[in-house]
Amino acid sequence: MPPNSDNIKYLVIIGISVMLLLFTSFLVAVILNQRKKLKYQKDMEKLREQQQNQLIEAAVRSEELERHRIAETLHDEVGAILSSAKLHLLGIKSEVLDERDQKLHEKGRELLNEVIQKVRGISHNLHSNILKEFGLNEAIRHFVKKVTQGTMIQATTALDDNYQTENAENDISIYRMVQELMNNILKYANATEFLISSTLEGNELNLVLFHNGDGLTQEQFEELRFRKEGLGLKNIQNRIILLKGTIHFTQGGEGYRINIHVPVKTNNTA
Amino acid sequence: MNKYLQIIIDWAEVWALLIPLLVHHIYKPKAAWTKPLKLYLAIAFLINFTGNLIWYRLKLGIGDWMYSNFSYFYNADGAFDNTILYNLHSVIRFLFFVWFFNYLNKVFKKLNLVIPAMFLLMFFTTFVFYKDIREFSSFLLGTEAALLLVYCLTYYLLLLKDEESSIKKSPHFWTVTGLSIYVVINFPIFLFYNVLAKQAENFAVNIWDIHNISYLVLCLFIAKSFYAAKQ
Repeated sequence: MPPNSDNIKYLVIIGISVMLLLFTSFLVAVILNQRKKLKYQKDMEKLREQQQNQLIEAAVRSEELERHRIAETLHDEVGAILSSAKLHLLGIKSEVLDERDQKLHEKGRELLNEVIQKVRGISHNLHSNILKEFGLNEAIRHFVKKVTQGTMIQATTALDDNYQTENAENDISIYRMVQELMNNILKYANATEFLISSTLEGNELNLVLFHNGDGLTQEQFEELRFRKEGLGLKNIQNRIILLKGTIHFTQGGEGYRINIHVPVKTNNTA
Repeated sequence: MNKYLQIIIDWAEVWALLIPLLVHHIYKPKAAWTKPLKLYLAIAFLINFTGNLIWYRLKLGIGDWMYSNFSYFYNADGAFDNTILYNLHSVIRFLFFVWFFNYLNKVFKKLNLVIPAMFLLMFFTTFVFYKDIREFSSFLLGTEAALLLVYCLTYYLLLLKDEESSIKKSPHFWTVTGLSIYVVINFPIFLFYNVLAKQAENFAVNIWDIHNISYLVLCLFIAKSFYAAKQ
């Protein structure tokens, strides 16, 4: 029988080993459990993000469909009725009218022409035909020219023609953002100079909108997005999320800049 | 064992404490739970440094000076040693870690109303009525290790139960793990140390190397905790 001192030594060594083994097993179980929990949390987060993107996509798609429907209704029905009204008005011989009625007839024709132009303009804005037929760059150039015609704004476009449409849906979203931003600039900025430029760098399309009026900083944009009257900006944010891009509002020395970065797949075929 | 390696291991209780103190000094973590740890490390450094000075007094040539100026460190057998510091360190370690656990979960706040008070009562009762404070108390250190192990296991169970928490969001996980490793290894050592010291003195001296290495592991885990907390 081994002496007492040996028994104590063995007891201590075995005690340390057993306790260490038990604790290690317990710790491994805790760590595995935590990893499982973390994976579950990440999966849930991914699912939430997917769901949000799907909702945004559905909202944007239905908005686009509605725009098309309204554009077609305006063009086919309202436009047709207005054109018909114009024809009927033109049918009136103005020579048989007295001076006062001639002036009213003339004014009526002018107003009718104006409303026909406006309805046509609204219909074209709502529809994305030019975008589908001629591409994003041409659609932006056409839009900028149209909205700044007759205003004090000196507008310039410098768009990278290397950009080719990879995804028509994405182009529509980019186009709508440019429309919304430009409309806001025209309405609120009191700018006299405007520049929109784009560069294609690798897999990213970078758009820059610059103006010398009163613009928004990034903090103001973040704040306005959550206000009831910030629907347009909320729309822009939704489209950016859908495109997996980024948008930044900055104030420089000479004016305000809006930088939009959108990942695009480049066409690698020769 | 190589004598230099032996000196390094003997003094591990002292220099190991500098590692988390240095990490704390560099990264300055702001979390409230780092405060009791920082204070414990500083006090433990002073205690352990003094203890090791006493243990190495003859080799350092300060034996006579200590002999004449620190007469209270004579133990009941008339030998001059540092055991009283280990007993005091045990109490200080327990109280500071209990303070640390207070910050981690409200469950510990409830435990901390009773357990530290009972431990202090046990401490005073033991050394007033039953033992000399200058003798190593297996009972005190064993109880301290067992209670700290209970706190550590409670922490892990709460971590498992909480849906939201994770190791990534809990930098104090590393401190608790280091402390668990320390108490798990040292509980049998503390429990049987008095018996070992009487029946197998050489083994008792050698096994203290295991204690010192586990103390180094504790300090490294505390340093990791401070580093994780700075983020």
